[in-house]
Amino acid sequence: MNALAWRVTRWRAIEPGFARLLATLGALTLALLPHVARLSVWITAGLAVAMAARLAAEHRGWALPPRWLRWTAALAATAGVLVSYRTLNGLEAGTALLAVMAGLKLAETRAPRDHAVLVFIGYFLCLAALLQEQSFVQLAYAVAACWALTAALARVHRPIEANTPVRPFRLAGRVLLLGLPLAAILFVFVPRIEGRFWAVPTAADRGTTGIDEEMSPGDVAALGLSDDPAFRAWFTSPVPAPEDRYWRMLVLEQFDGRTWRRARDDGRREASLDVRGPTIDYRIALEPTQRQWLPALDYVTTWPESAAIRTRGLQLIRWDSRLMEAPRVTERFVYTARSAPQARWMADELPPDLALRNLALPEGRHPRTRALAAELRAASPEPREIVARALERFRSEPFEYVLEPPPLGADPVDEFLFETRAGFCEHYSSAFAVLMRAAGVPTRVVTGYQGGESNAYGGYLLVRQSTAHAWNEVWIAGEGWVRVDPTAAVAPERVRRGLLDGASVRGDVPGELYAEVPWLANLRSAWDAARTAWYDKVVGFSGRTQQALLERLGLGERGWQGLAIALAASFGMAALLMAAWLAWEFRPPHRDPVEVAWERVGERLAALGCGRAPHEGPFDYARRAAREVPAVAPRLRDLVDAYVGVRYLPGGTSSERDRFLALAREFVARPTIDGRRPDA
Amino acid sequence: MSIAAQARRQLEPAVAQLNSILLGKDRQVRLAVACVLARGHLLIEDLPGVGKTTLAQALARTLGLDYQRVQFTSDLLPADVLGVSVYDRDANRFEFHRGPVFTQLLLADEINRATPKAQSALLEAMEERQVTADGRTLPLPEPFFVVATQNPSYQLGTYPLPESQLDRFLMRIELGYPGTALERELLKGRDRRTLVAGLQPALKPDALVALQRHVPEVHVAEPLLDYLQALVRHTRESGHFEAGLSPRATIAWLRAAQAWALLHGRSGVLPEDVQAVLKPVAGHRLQPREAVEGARAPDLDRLLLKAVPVA
Repeated sequence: MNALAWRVTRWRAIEPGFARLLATLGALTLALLPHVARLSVWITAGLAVAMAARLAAEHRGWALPPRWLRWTAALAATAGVLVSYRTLNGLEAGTALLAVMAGLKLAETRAPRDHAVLVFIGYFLCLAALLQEQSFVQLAYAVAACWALTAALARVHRPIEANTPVRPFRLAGRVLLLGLPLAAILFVFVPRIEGRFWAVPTAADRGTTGIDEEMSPGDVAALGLSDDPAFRAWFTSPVPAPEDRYWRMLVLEQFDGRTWRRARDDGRREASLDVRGPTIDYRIALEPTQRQWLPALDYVTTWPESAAIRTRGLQLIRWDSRLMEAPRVTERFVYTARSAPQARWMADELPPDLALRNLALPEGRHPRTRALAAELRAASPEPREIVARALERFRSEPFEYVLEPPPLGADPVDEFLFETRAGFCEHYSSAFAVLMRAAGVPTRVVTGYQGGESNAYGGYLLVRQSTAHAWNEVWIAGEGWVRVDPTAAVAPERVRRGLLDGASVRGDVPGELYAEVPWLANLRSAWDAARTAWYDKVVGFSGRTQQALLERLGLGERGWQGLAIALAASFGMAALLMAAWLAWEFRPPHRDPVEVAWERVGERLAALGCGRAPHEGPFDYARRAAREVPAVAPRLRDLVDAYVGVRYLPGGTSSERDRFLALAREFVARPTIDGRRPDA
Repeated sequence: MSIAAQARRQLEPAVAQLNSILLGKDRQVRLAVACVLARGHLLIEDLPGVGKTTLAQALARTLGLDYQRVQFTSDLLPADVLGVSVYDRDANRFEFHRGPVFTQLLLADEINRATPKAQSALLEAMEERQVTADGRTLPLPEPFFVVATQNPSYQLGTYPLPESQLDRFLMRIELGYPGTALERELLKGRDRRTLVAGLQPALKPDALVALQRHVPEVHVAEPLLDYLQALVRHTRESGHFEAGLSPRATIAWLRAAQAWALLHGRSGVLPEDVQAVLKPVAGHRLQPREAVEGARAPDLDRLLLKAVPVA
């Protein structure tokens, strides 16, 4: 308490102009903070110096810099932005320019109008931060910053003595709250321009994440494990069992002895899919990967649907359901797909060029693997047998699933299969594919994700980057391409229950902490669900969702007219609500009917030329009225006695009240006994 | 018959008797009686010779009260009012001799001629209704009523009472010159002093005490409290006055209004009662801000009464 009082007195002791400046600069700093990481260092430093200098100038009463100096500084700063960002256009450079201008504006900030300019720069900075990122943490921060900015604006425009440290915040809070319904209405009903209409080019140097286009087991010493979400999937049909959750993205068919690569033509071949069995419908929200590939379950039967794809005219490229390709996914991307897990794929015939490609091995490499393949093939030429025996070998020999395998040398396949025998999915799928091809079974590598944890709060599957996986497909006549996962043979738990339960995982696994502390895991799920709902319902509120909402309101077929009607109607509703609230807020105080009746009597007498002065007591008034309008005297005497009785004397019963009210009514109707006009 | 009507019947003869002595001063007489009823003290401020002492004496006789008079002078000491301890050689101890304050009605004549020290001795006694001497506390008689007279402060040789002391008086009234006709009657009539000496009590002392006890019981309706509070708030917030009325002054005002209502035989207080005592109660407690040199009382009619509507 004492400390608080002390602080309050300290605040009072601060010179009011200084306090205003402090409030404006504080709010501006809040608006700037989210940009600091992206701003060039010289801008941040310059801003800090400018703020400190301006505060010092205010405190010491220094003169502000002259006009020529301000102009020079402005030109130099603009040139600086141009040099640092190589453009003045775009979100990053634009933000930098705003920040720089805020610093320069400080040099001429004197009047409330200058403060207002600073505050509006702050609003724009908040907006720019939301263009960069639309998470609700960011939104909450932006709202808080706007609150501080609005409070600073209020502080500048109110008389100095009306300001306490808190009062402008209260005012600004009320203003923001009052604006909330209008913001909600505008959010829901203002027509959406598909895509991000602001589509400001952002810096391209963001790292790519997720599945690589190439796979070179043995080069990477450790599997880069990231706990970040890769995508989330909602199912309208039953969710597949954990061991069936293979999310394919890329097919790698070309191998040079070390590295697996995509074939040139993939995505451009006709499909021959024999759809059978049940289908699965789902919607995927893919986090930005900066790559083209879209994950999907085996085997996609229907073209993905996505508002973004439809309206932006994006070309989806697909080929025999093995691959979906879209323009680079630079922002959260939502699409729907249908898969048929039991569909057969090229069951009858493998085109010769594909057969060749999926049997090819680099000349003269992997001798020990080839020897083993010959051995397998000698036991039985039947592909199914070969696959089974190879998997049996993985299972029986001391293979290990490890996250940090020993590096492999010149022949990674031979070394892995016969020496180290320790690796993760890439090692297994690569070695398996080589072994099968050497044994004459067309085989390829598929990369993507395996698994997914279901989120009870959001009703979706969350697939993390750490569940990236590689497996194989072998072609068997009569069945087509069949999925084989050699990793599952070695570490079945990896596939069934996820990375954490892999039988022989060594090394640090992300999310370990969550697995050990259930409530923490729960909390993380809830947080993820909230975030997802935010993106799904708010950030992802698009023209299509808007249309769906209009249809529910019965305005569906009217298009933009429907929006206009809805907008006008909700504005009208908001105005009505506000009017009702104002009417309630400023309602006249409840009045005693006795008081009201006495007022009517006064009005009646006023009409007769003898109004009651506000300060006149009842008897004084009655006496004067009787003197000035003698005709009313007889009735007025009873009336005023009754009035005084119920209003000022003890024990005014309800019957006395009623009697007075009746008398008053009677008097107002006929002030004299004989009904003559008193003035006649 | 209601208590209020009974009170009126008891008090009317007293008022009539007082009016027979002080001609044409019905309002001042009634205010003085109301002041007694409200157990307050009365300050009469006017020129010498307009009947201040006569009013005090007539009041004492009519209400059947013991009467003492102290002429305040610049050399008056507190002991002259309160009493003094004298050494009794036979008993070998100090004996306290009660001063003139030990009476039922004390006329403190020309109180502003005494030094502040003597003034405050009396005013303490008025507030506490007791006197402390030699470590003994002696209660003053019941009822105890002080009528102080005061010359207008612009006269020579006066020590004006400060605001805090003025607050001890429930009412301050002025008598003023009599009208021509009444002054003629005064000139033709018998000497007032003789008339006063011949007065018989119109009220028994215990009846007066009973009436005093009844004053706070007079009904006060909520709307009336609203009105009173609005008036008080106006004195504090309008900016017309140096300082608004204190809560103690507000209570005093209400008591005075209750006494006024009782005096007129009403069982509840009306806005008119509040207004009737407004000037005597608030006049000496409020200092107008735009005070003109020589103006003695603020124009309360304009500044206060007409500025606040009746509730």
